[in-house]
Amino acid sequence: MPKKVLVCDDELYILEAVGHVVREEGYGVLTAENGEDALRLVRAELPDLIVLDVSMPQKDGNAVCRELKSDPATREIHIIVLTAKGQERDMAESYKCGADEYMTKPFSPRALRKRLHELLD
Amino acid sequence: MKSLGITAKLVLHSAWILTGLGATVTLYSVSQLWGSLYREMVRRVEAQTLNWIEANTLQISLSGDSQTLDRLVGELKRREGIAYVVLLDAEGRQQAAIAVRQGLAEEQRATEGSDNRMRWREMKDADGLRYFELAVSILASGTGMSPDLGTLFGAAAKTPTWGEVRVGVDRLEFERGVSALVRKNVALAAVLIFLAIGLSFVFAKRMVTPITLMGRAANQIAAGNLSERVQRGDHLKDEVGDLVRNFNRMALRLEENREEMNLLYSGLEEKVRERTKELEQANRKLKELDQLKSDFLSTVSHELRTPLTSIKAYAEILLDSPHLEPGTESHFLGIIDKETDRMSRLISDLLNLAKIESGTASWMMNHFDLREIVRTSAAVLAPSAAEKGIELKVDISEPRPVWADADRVQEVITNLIGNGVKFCSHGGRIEVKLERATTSGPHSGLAGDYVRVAVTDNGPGIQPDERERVFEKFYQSAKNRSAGSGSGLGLAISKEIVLHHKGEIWLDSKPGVGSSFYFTLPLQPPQGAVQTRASESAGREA
Repeated sequence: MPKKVLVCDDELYILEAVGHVVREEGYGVLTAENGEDALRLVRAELPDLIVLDVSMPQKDGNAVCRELKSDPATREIHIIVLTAKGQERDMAESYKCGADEYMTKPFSPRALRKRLHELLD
Repeated sequence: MKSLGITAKLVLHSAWILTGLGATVTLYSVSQLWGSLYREMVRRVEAQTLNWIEANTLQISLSGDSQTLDRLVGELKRREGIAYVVLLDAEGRQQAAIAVRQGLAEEQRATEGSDNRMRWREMKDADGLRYFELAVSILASGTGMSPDLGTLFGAAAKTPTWGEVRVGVDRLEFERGVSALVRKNVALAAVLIFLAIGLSFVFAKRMVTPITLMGRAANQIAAGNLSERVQRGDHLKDEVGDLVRNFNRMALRLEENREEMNLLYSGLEEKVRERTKELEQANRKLKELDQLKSDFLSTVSHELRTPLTSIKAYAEILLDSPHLEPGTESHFLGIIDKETDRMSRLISDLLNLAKIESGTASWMMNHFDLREIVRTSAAVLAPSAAEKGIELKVDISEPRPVWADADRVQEVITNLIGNGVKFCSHGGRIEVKLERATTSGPHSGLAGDYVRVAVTDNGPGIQPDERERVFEKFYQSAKNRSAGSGSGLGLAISKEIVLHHKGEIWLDSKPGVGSSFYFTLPLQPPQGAVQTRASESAGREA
């Protein structure tokens, strides 16, 4: 059974691009357009990894990250934060919330593929 | 060393003068007194002696017995002030004597008495006691001639003298009488001098007190107590009174000046406080603006990264995946194309807004027919409306031209209709109305001649808490973001354009029913705007 990856972004084109890359690498893809949907989906499906945007309407990425990492049921899920916020303090904030990886937009699909394999294989 | 006070000096000086004058006057009066007492004594003793001689010459010259002479001498001796009596005959032999002192000798030569029969001299006895002695010659009895007559008749008529009588007066006793009087005089003078000194002290004190008080008041004033005044001596009609009055006037002026200065100073302080407050406010505002600017920059950066992210991601996917299905490949290329357009639109909107906000945008103000603009805008958007099955209706009831920049007004109308098309679902309806208005709108509500453009749709509507925020830069509702096409600046630019024309822009909306966007434009240019038209046109061309 292939490992499942949840992609969460409010920009639909980016959501689609990340989903395409994940699928190409042979993983199952789940998508969410905001933080609340993402949390619901994670609890229902328990994916192996989440690619998470930070600036989103309703619950932002950092809050989602914090909630998942403080819940024993979801703590083990890898989280790659993928955000347009590129300042050092943004990165520090995300790591503090429990992110495993931090990637800034625009991102390289090649680098994303590499990270996916590092974390999931 | 502290010198003497004025009072002490005045009293001391007057004491010197009074004592000097008093002593001089006393000395003079004492000498006068001595002289007159001496003369009186001389007169008295001479009179007594002559009187005695006259009464007793006969007995003296006739009897000659010593018993009688002793008795007569004793009689003379009893008279007032006489210390001793000696009776001598013509040959100088002592015939009788009473109370004569031992070793009596002449101390000072004789002086003549009241007439040539009498002479006075001063005597001193063995004990050193002094006496005034009067010697009077006694004429022989029976001649009855005066001595003057005797000299007239020559030797033949010369009157023979029996002898002479010497009468002594105790000088000490005489002087005791004098000194008693002198003591009284000196005592009186001393009392008067002390009285005068006392009075001079009182007068000096009265004169000096205001000066002393003035000194203290000056001290108080120097210490900062400017309300201090001299209470004594201001009624005096002399130099001290003048001084006190001038001093008090000076103190009053000083006090008034200080009050004035205090007033000025407190006014100044108030001003400084106000200025500081203003500066603080300005500073706060600047900080807020700075924060806004930095927030805006980070938002801009985020907004530019979003389409760039799509472009980069799809381009790399296309490069790395040569065996994509043809449909997917063209889909991805289409996304790259759209996101490139979105990015360039965003950049031009940003530049446009920045120009308007900084005041460097040029405006082509003119009278033009707004109906044309409305119709053109509707026509431009008609195809995309038709594509979504949206009905687009235009209703014009105001034919007059407006004073505005036609291109920018068209931008506003296109933006509003475009929003309607974007948010209306299939089968929706958009109505554009151009009508007359008598106020600028609900915000400032300025009365005047306005045209109002209303763009009404039956889209999803806008939540009440979002109605003001939709005009903010990059504010996009969740739904709008998902649509993924807008720059997030359209309404912000529209608002700036309308405000520049002194109009208003606002909206009404019922969620689930639809939204109406309104904006107004004045029919007439503001005062003085027409004159700047040429330069504005020139600026725009430049």
